[in-house]
Amino acid sequence: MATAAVALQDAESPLVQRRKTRTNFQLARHRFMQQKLAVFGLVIVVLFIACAVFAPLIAPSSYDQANLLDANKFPSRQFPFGTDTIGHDMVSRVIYGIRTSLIVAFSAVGMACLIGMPMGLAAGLKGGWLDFLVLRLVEIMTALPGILFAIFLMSVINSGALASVLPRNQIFNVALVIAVTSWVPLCRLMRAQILTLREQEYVTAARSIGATEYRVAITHLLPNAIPPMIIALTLGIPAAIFAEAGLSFIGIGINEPVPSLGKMVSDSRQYIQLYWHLGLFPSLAIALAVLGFAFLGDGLRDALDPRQI
Amino acid sequence: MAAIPLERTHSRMSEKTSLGDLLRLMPEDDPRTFSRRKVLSTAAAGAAAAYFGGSMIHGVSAQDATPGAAMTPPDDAAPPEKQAFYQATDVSVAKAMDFYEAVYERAGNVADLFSEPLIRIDRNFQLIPAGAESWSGSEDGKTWTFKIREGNVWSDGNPVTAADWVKTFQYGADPAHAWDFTWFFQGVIVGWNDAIAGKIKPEELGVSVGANDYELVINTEVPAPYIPAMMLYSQTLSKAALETSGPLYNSKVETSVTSGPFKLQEWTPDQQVVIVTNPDYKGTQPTLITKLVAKLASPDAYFTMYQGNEIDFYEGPDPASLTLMLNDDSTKGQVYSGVGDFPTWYIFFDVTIDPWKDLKVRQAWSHAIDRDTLKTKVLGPNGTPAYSWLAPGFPASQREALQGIQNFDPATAKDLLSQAGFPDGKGFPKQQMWLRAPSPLDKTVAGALAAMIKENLNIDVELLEQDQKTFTDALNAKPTQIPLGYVRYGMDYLDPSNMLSVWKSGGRHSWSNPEFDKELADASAYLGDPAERIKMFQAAEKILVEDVPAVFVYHGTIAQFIKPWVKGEFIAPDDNGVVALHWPGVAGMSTVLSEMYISSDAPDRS
Repeated sequence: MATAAVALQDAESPLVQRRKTRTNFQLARHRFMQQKLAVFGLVIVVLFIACAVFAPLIAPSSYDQANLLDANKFPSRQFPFGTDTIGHDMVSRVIYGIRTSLIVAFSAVGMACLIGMPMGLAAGLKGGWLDFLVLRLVEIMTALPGILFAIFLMSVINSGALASVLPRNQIFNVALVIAVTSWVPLCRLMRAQILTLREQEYVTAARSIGATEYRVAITHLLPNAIPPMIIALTLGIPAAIFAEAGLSFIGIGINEPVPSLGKMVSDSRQYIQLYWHLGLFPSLAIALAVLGFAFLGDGLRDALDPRQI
Repeated sequence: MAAIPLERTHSRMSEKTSLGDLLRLMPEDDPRTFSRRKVLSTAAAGAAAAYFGGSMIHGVSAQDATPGAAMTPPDDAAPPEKQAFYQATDVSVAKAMDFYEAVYERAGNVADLFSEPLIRIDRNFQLIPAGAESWSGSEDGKTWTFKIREGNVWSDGNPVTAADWVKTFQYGADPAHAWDFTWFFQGVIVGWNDAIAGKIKPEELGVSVGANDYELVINTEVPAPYIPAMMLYSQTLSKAALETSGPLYNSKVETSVTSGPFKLQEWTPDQQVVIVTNPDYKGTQPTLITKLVAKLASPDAYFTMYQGNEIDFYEGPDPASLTLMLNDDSTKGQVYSGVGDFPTWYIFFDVTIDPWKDLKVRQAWSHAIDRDTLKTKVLGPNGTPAYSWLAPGFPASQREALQGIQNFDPATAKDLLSQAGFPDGKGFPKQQMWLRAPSPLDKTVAGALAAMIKENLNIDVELLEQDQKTFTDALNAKPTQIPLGYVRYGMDYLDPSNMLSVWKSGGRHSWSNPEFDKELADASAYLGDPAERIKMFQAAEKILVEDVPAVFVYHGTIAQFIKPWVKGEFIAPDDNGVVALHWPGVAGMSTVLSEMYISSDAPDRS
């Protein structure tokens, strides 16, 4: 009786009650909120996403509105970031540039997911010749230098050789190229996850009661493989932002007049000795976006790591 | 022709200047621009007299050059081993060394120096005998005979004869070669059109060896008094080298063959091309310069290279570089502005497809471009507003007379677009405007054009940057693959027939106008009064401007940066006072190289 009474007393203590009522999500959120850099990253990401979504509402003017008579103005009350060589308001260009970067980054990562995740899932689950095929493809893609392959693909697209296949939307094309050159890590991660998870007891149990392979994959394996994938996706976004900026920097990415942060930095090089503001603000925007997503990804990784539960 | 040291005329800019100030300070009354205008009276009259006068048909009395003349170096000249001239060439373009291999993909600054053209021009645009020592035309103006200078030899020991030119023209017309400049001789040389279409063999072309090995005969479809001027582009290939080593034989040191003033020493892909004096040269263009180096780089890097003394010269700088140069007392004297090749930059349409079929749409675009603001805020000394095709100073130019046809008038532009069924731009498809390997200046101008079209017509225009080859192939394709583009064209020789022939049916663009074709053909073949001929060309140009196959944006008055240690007569004022490195620059077709030397204060870049 005494033992039972002690047990009851422990169960009613505030500590025990808190442990009982916290879900995994709450624990993860708690751990996430304790990381200052992660919170900082989250704030930046939220701000940037807000910028992208509400760009038409918050930008002083449209991205393609320019007045040559206002060209090359330094930052002032009228133009807080100054104007460029054609007379675009740099605040508007930076805001829309962020929008372009995020659209490309999210689209690229999304498309990379669509390519890499099913392949990794199938390879890990089926094994055999399918696994062999996927692994060889992964090895081929790994052997190709990503940025050079992306430049090659963009050059082919820009030459019009694929005009009958691809849409005339350069943002989509850039995202597609980044996705084609960046799906490999996602595929390998997914395959590794599946290889680990498929040996778990609950999977064996599911199989033993007659679950089909499809049901096992969708109901048991995929949901448990998602958390590491979310981290990988989050960390893939800054890489995609950099890739888009890089392609635009060398002149084969987004076409004018659609603003791209990378292109704005590239164009500013000619004027760096005269108009410092042309390169500063887009560079800051790229740096903040990349830092924000990187901090957020790191924070999520630490928060979702099951070993910390 | 000895080089003479010369005091160079410096820019009139003396105080610190912002970009805006600079551009305002470069109006039409700029002394250099004024000089450019003066070219009209002299050059046009001179050209007309030289090209089309009766004497031209029967013989030549042009200034002669002495083959193999020795050069006397000025006192301040650097020693021969340091007579090296450094330039930059677009790395994406440099694929060939010869005009008849690929006009738009040759390493421009060091190409065309491995043989002599039949004719070259001096800085006053006067024809000078080069590979040909004289020429004459038949009474009907359809048979042209060039007497090839004897004594020139190829580095493989073969003499330079008329057969080399015959083979070169046949190679240019060979459809298997797919030369990118075939349009130039279309409708001119007998059989050219059929040869490039594969209907006849190139050997059946109307170019042949005459009475002996040193007589070249060119037969033309129509009376062509401009043939001698066209022969500026006649840098011959070696017949023997073509037959033994095949095309592009000048791209490798081991197969390269030259009869020009220079020979290939090095071609390191994506880095540099080096050519050095040909010790066996016996032609008419002796030089003090012993080495020409073309650094292969992106145009974006030219200014940095110039600042770092890696190159001695470049032209067409972006506005920021220009401002920096002019704001610095130590560099403003290195800035020049010349007439170049009288180029015109223009937006062109594929008028065979919608929405460009509709004249009102094209007219709307032509009225939506504010060229004066473009001049003030972007171009500065790099250009002057264009409302028609022929640049001021070029024979038959009539900019003022035609200015009202494509003038800036946004209200009219909107009205025309509305009449075409696109009120306030609604329903007008988003456009992609192709750019050909754009320079930083081109990108800025194209961006400004897109902004003006958006502002005045509410039409979205995306800029599509293409490399030289992709653009050229798409442009030359029949039917053209470029619905909308922005490009330039400059003269090949100082005659309206050349500039206007860009627009003849089956030429560079898809626009076709029988009335224009007839006016152009009649004027080109006209052997009578030169003044009457000019009027005929002006009538053709008026048709062109009114039918708006293109929106003419600006005429280039090319700004140049030249290092102070690059000296010589080439930079002396021409007959009209223009002080610049004259078109076609450092090339076999001009006298620039013979008039240039490097002074002893040049930095050591060996």
